Amino acid sequence: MKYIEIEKLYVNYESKNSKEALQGLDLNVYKGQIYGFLGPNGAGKTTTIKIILGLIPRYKGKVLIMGASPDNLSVKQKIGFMPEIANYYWYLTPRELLYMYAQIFGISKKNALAKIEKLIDLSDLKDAADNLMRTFSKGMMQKVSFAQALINDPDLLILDEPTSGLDPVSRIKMRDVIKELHREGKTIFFSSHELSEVEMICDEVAIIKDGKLLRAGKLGDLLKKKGGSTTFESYFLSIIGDNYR
Amino acid sequence: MYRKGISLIYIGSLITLLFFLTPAIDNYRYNFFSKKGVAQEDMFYKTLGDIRKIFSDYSYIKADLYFHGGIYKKDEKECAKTEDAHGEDKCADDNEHFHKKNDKLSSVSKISILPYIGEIIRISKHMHLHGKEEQEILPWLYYSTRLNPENIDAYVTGSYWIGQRLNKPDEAIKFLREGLIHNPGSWEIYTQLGEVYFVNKKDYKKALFNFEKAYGLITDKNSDKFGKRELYSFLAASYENFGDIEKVLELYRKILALFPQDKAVQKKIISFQSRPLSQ
Amino acid sequence: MRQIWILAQNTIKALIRKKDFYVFFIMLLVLLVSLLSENFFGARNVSRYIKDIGFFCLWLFSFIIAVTFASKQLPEEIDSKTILPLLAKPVTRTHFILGRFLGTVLASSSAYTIFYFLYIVVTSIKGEGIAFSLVIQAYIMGICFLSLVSAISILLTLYLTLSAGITVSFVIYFAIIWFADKLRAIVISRTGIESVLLNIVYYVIPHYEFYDLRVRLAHSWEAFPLWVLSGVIVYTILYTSVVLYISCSKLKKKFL
Repeated sequence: MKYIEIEKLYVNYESKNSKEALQGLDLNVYKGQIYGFLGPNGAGKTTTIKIILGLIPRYKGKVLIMGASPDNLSVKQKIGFMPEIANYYWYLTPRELLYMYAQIFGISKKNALAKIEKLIDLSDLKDAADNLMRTFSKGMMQKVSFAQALINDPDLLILDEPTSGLDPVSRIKMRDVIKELHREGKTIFFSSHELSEVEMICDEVAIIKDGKLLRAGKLGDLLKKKGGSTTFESYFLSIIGDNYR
Repeated sequence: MYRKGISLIYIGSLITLLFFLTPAIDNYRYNFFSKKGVAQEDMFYKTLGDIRKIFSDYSYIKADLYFHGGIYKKDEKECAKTEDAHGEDKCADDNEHFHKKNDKLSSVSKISILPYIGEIIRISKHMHLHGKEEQEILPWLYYSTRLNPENIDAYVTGSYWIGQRLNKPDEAIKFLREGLIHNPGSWEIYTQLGEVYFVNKKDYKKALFNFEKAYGLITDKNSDKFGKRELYSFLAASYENFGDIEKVLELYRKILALFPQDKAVQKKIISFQSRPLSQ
Repeated sequence: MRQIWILAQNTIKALIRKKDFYVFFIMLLVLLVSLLSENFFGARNVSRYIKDIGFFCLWLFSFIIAVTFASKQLPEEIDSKTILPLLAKPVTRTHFILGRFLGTVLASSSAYTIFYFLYIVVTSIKGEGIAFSLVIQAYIMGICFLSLVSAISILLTLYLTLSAGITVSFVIYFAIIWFADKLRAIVISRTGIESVLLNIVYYVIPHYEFYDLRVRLAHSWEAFPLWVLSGVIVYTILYTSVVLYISCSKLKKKFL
C-alpha cells in the first residue's frame, strides 16, 4: 500500500521574486519502508514534508497520504512528525508537553502516562523530564522532539533532520531506535544531510534539487547503475552536479 | 516554584507595607512642615517636571467632573437649572431616567438598535453633588495642589469647599497657608483666607488683616473683575464691622466702577452716604 | 472541541508561568492600599476617587494582559515554529485560532476576576460601596470587553507584525473611547442616505465604550436594564464570531 503518493506536485510560495519551491515532484513511499529524502539546502525537502503534513494551503498536483488528503484529521492521527527546528513551549516541561499532545490525540490519561514514561526512557530525558524547556540545549530539545513524534504510536513517521544537534552517542542511539521502529512495521520518511546515516538505514532514497526530483529508487540499484564501485557520497555529489571535488 | 512563590509574596508584602507607610509619613511631614512654614518638595513630583502642571490642571477639571457626577457639564444654564432643583436632580429610579431618554430619542428620526443601546448606556443627566457627597471632589483638588503648588485656583476652590461647604475652617486655613508658602504674592489666596475667617471663624480682625493684605497685592493690571468685586465686598463688610464708613464707600465706588449697572451696589452707596463717616 | 479546550489550557498555563500577571497584581494592590490610606483634610469616607482610579487601573491592566497575550499567540508560534508540530497533529487551523482565543479570554478573564475581587474588597472598606447589581453588570461587561479585545488583537496579528498589532490595538481602543459618542450623536441626527452610510460605519467599529462602567461605579449611578446587558452580550458574541471567522479564513490561506 502506498503511504505517500505524490504526483506532479508544484508549489509556489507566492512571494515577490519567488521561484517555484517544487516543480513537478513525483514520489511514492510504500508501507514498511525507510525512505531517505536528500538534497542540498533549499532543494524543497522541508516544503515536501509540509505538503505531506497538510501545512501548505495551496499547491498543484496530487497528494495522498494513506489514500486520503493530507489535511484529513484521521490521517494525522496516524502520523508522527519530528521537525527540523526543535522548538517547543518554554513554559512547559517535556512531561507536560507530551501529555498535552497525548490529549490532542485523544489518548486516555492512564495510557498517556504510561506512554510518556516509556518515551522519556527511550529518549534519555529522565533527568530533565520535569524541568522547564527554557533551559534546554539543542540536543535535549531534539530528544523531546523525537519523543513527541512517537506519542501516538504512529504508522507513518516523518523525521526532518532527526540527528541534527545530537552528540555521537545519541546519534547512534537514535539510529538504533529508528531501525527498531522499522522492525515494528512503521513506515519512516526522513530527510537528512548525513549521507552515511542514509546509507546505513534506508531502503530507498530520493534526491532532489531546486524543487525537482533528480533520482529515486533503492540505494543498491542506484549505485549499481553507476558501476557499483562508487561511494554514496560521490554518487550524491555527481547527481546534484556539485563540482566541489 | 514554591520558593519563588514565597519570595514573590514576601517582596510584595514588603512593597505594600512601604507604600502603606509612605502616605502616613507624608501626612505627618505635611503637618509638621506646614506649621514650620517650610515648602514641601517631594522627590516624586520633582521627577515629573513641568508635565505635572498638565496633570494638575487635569485634576482640577476632574474635581469639577466629580461635582457633576462624573459627567461633563454642557453649559452654565444647565448648572443653574440643576441648582434650582436642589436635591431633586439625581434620578430616583431607572424609570424616570429612561423615560426621559426615550422622550429625547423619540423626537428624532428612528435609530437602529446599536446607537439606541449606546444612548441608554451613556449617562447624560445633569447633576450636582449635595451635602456630604461634596467631599468627594476633595481628593482631586488636593492632588491638583500637590502636583502644582502654584495652582492658585485649586487652593481657592479647595478651601471654599473645605471651609464653607464641609464646615472644616481649620483645615481650610491650613490648606490656604500652604498655598501662601508657594504663592506669597497671591491676592486670591489672601482673599479666600479672609473669607474663611470672616464667614466660618467670625474672627473679623484676622479677616480684615487678610483682606487688607490681598488689597495691597492687587494691581490695576489684574483683570479678574469678579474676584476684585468679591474682595472689595468682603473688605467693605469688614470695615463696616469696625465702623470705618469712609473706606466702605471707597470700596463700593470701586465696585461700581467695575460694574456700573449694579443696582444693589448703587443702593448701598446711597445708604452709606447717609451715615456718618466713622462710627 | 477537545483540541480547542486543550490549547486553551495551554494558554492559561503560559499566563501563570509568565510574570506579567503577578507584576500587575502587586501594582494594583499597592495602588489601592496607597489610595485607601490617603487622608483628605480629615474628611471621612471619601471613596469615589478610589473607585474611579482603582477601576481605571484594573481595567487598563486587564486590557494590557489581553492585548499582549492575544497578540503574541500567532506570531510567536509561527516565528518559533512551534506551530508546525502542533498542526501536524489532528489540529486544524480553526482549532488553533479558537483554542488560542479561548485560552486568552480565560487567562485575561482570570486576571480580571482577581483584580476585580481585590477592587471590590478595597472599595467596600471605605465609603458607600457599590450596588450589587452594578458589581455584577460591570464584571460581565469586563469579560465581554476582554473577549472582543482578544479576538481583534488576534486578527490584527494576522495582517501586522507583533509590535504593530499591539500598537494598533491600543490606538483603536483609545480612538473608539474618544470618538464613539460623538459619532453616535452624528448618526442619530442624520437622515436618508447619510444616515445609512454612517450607520454602516457605526456597526463596523467595535464599541469598546459600551463596556466601561467606570462612571457608573465611581459615582453611584444606577445599573442599566437587563435587556441592555443582554443586547451587549449578544453584540459581543456576534462581533467576536465574525472577527474569529475572518481570522480562521486568513490563517487557512497563510503559508507557514
